[in-house]
Amino acid sequence: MSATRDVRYLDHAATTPLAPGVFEAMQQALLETPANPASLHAPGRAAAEQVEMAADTLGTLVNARPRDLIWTSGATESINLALKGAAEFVGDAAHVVSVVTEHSATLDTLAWLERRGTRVTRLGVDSAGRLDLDALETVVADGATLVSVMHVNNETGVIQDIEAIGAICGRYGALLHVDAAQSLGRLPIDCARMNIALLSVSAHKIGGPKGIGALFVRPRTGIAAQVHGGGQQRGLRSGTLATHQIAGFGAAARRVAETRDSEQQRLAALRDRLWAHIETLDGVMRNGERAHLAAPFLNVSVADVHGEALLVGLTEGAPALAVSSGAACSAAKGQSSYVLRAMGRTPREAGASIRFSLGSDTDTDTAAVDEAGARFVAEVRRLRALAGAV
Amino acid sequence: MNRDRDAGWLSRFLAPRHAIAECAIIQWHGLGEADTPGEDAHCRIQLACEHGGDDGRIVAAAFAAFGPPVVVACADWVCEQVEDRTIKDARRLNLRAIEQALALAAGERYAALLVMDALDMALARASSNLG
Repeated sequence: MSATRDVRYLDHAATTPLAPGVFEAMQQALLETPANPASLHAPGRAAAEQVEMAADTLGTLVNARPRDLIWTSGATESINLALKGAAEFVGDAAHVVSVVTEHSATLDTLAWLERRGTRVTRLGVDSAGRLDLDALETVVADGATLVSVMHVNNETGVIQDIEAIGAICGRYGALLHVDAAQSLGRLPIDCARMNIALLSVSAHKIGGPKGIGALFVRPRTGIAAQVHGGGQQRGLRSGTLATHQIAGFGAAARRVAETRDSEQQRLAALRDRLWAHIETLDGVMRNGERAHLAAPFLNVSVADVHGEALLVGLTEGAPALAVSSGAACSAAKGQSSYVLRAMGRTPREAGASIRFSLGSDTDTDTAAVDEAGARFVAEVRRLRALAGAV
Repeated sequence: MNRDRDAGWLSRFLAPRHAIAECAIIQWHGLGEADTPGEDAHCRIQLACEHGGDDGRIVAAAFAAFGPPVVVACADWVCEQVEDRTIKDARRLNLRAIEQALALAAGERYAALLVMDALDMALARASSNLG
């Protein structure tokens, strides 16, 4: 990823650079199939073909029928449509079960639903960030109508056992919605085998363009539309389809379908190499258990440094590391990562945490990861020295 | 975090010149500390002086700080300002001077207050230690 100055981009969980072939697919769609894909004439049918090709590719990637995919503006909209749509369809009997470590797209939507009378249950996680399946089953057995769980946590990379969760939902007749924004292209997703009723995905996490996502809706799953207008997409999401965005999503999906397994193995090795540098420091903690982490993620809590100082030092110093923190603000103000707090970290530990997320443009040549590791270690040592014995 | 921070503010955080850890002086005459629990920040300022009383000259000032970057920047700036000044003269340094020099936003004023509290204590102790 290019930048205005010398920056090591290690923030692929936030967004990814365009994958090879994506720009060309979008350009082709813009120039050669500019008609409205809902139009019945030949140019319209040509545009519709672009949409169908992308749906075929994405459907294959998640084992879903192409016609069961609803195009949206991204995962946030998909999640809103899934949760609000399912709750509205069920009405007063709706009971949604989710997890405290979900993305704010889910948590904020659930809070909105709760204010309007929907029953919402939020489950905690263990110190590894994993959902207790027995606790989930108890709640689902109590009459949950919808369970919403993210496959891979956006801060830590912790993987939830979607297949087991799907089985629980199946036993008690609850729908399962999965936020797969961080798992698409990184982990196998099989909507049929995992008993997924609703699946939210986004293009820009897999090398596609921003502004396009999709919601898989299993046949005979009741959801109410949240955007009304021309009745496109079976009336579930009105609005003219953005053919070029969809073509870009399709090209990115094609790319990850071809490269996923080898790429994730490569990134896991680089991620472990990065951790090997960092763990030479005293007072560092890796968040999540390696066996249950998606390959690109490394989330580290650091003792004896201030979270904001660490983030600014890494992102603004030289060479700059483009990394993220769940919430790099004052631990004392309660602004530290709610995800890490839910995993039992102290406010200071949760405040001084950094997320590295590797991606396709992270060089296989280990020099970049070695440099990032050395830079992190040096910055932590610098800040600890500045703090002295205070 | 103030994303619109002043370039000088940031460069001081990235490369402070008055950190105690970098300072070779071992004889300090005044030490002052302060903290701001609400920001999870703590600052210590140490002064080395020659001659006694309020007319004593500060020959070196250094800091240690735990907290957001703006705390480090303020501490470094204050240490730079008081060096080569008398204790009496250093007492004239005020909040507004720090805020203006580092272009602090309203939400960053706590850092100036924190550092000034530490400096006031260090000046008082330096004056009495040498007086």
